[in-house]
Amino acid sequence: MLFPGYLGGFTVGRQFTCRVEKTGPVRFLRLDGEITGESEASFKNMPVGGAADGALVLDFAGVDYINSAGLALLIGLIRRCRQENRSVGAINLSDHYRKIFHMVGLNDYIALFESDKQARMAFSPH
Amino acid sequence: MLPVHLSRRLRAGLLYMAAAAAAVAALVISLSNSFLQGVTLEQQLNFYLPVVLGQCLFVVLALYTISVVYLKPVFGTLDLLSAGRPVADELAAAARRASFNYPLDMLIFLTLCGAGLSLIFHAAEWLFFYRGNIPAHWWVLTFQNAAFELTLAVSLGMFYFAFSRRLLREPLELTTGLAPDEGKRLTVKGRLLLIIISLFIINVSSFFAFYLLFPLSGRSVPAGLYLAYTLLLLLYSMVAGLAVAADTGADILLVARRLAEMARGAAPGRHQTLTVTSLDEVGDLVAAFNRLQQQVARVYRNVDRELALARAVQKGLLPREFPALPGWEAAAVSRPARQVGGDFYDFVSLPEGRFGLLVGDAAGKGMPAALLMAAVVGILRAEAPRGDSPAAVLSKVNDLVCSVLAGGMFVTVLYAVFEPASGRCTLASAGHMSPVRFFAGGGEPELVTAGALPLGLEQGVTYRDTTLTIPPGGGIAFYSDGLVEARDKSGELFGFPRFLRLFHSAAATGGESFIAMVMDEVERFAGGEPADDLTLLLLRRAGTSGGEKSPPASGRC
Repeated sequence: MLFPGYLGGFTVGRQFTCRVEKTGPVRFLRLDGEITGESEASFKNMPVGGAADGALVLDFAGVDYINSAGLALLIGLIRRCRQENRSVGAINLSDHYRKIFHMVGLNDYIALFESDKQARMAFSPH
Repeated sequence: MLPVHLSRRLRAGLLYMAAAAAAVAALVISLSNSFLQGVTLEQQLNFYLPVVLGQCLFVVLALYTISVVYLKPVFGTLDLLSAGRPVADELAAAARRASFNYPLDMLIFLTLCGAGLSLIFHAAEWLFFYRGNIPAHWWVLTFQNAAFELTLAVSLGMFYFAFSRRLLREPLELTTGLAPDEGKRLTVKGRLLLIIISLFIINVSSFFAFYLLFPLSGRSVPAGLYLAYTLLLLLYSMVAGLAVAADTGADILLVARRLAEMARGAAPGRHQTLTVTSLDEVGDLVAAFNRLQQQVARVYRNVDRELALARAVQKGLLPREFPALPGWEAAAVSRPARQVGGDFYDFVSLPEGRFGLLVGDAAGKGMPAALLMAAVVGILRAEAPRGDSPAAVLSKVNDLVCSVLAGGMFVTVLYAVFEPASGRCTLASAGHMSPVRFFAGGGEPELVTAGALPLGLEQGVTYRDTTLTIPPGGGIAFYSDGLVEARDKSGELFGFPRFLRLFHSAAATGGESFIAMVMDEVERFAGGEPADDLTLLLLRRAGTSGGEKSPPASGRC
């Protein structure tokens, strides 16, 4: 499934898209492009699923850039998941955004993993 | 400078069009005479061909001469433009009017010529062959022929209309804005109606000839000829229809191309006039767009003025200069990416000789961020001087801000309190960039770890205080994300490693010079104007460490 981002005006950045993969009890969202205010429409329409869909893992491998409006979108998404008592993880996050996530306090809400496998193991019921 | 052969090209185009129109007419009439009217080869050679070719040669010469005289102001204007000389208003207006009117006037002229020549032809035919001995059905045949010839003239006129408009688009583009868009109108609807009716009559009269006149004159319908003629008519109808449709399409494509060019180089507030090349529905659309653009440009100018005022107000919210801080030097710069921005910093005087520094960033850019920034600065100014710890101040401000902020909006703030004598610093961050602590004597600059949710996202957040010491000769820098997240043309981030490396020279450089160096470095990396606000506040403690020269104890921003 592809959810093209909205490119308002004359934005030159890469369009935001998201691909969903359900692997056992974990739902992976493969994010691609830039997460900015311009990707708000597609970001909010991402197939995040509901409480019954288990843990959510955001794959940042294809993400080039997240600005402050993008961070606001991420924070909103993570808070929504927390309200549903869903665990949220992240993989393939660059060193730069690991630092940023820490600075904006996202590390308290999202677990960082090194790989799909590690995330699956952490979120699979034992 | 325009190409000098513009008017020569227009002349050649006119001659070519006239010749093509006459050749098509000669061909169609001759074929019709031979295969439909039953004119023999001898009759063709002795009478019809000389008459038809003579008429057509006359048409070419007449059309070209009339066109050159009619378009004299256009040639004059093109010659002046090619030479890079100014064009007088009257000449430009006459050229523009002639360019708009020529296609329609020529259509009318050609139709009248067609009607006149048809009349002459049939009168001559009657005089030479049938006077006093009119054959049966002659009147019916002549009526059919006249209808065919007249509508053929109209459809050829439509060809001429379409091709002459193609030739005159360039002069109309070049003279846009030099004179008003005035002239005779032939709407797209009118053009379509004319060509449809013409083609309908041509086709009906041809079939009429086949189905009525052949049997009436005692001949059977020749199947092969009928098929060939039908295909020829089909081809002609398609080409004529396409020519008229393509003519209107060309105007629309021209507008679309110009709009795409404008969009690529879009500069809000700059008015760019689209060229009006037709006085029809498309021309009306372009004229309406141009009027709308003028209005939008006016609105942009007003908004720009208001933004400039807002920027002045916002600048007034930031401290003009830091007070003298014995033993310390403070310097700061904030450059908004747009006319107003969301970054801010402030100085807070506290009891017992302590002082506080605030740096923040309201999410987003432009007016919403600026309004949010102004509100938060006001609340922080009220709360910070009460003397609570930075974490307590941020918690209180967060609760106040949460109650008024709309969903998705937030503000990052870093608040640090300093004890000047000891160099002790207590800071708390609400989602702001971690400060950089730097040292004299070659020590590695470091990010001071501090992290928590920005203000405005969640009620009841507890922030943490972090305590550190600024050693003599060292200092601390507060900044906004615009600096570390500046991107070059390939999309690469300036990043923390590159940013931290710059601080190796921070202890040995004057505060203002260092800030200017960092800003220049980031702007050079980004290749021009930054996409986000850039703010950097530097605080250095006087004294030496490891032989480093201590900075002077003064403060400016």
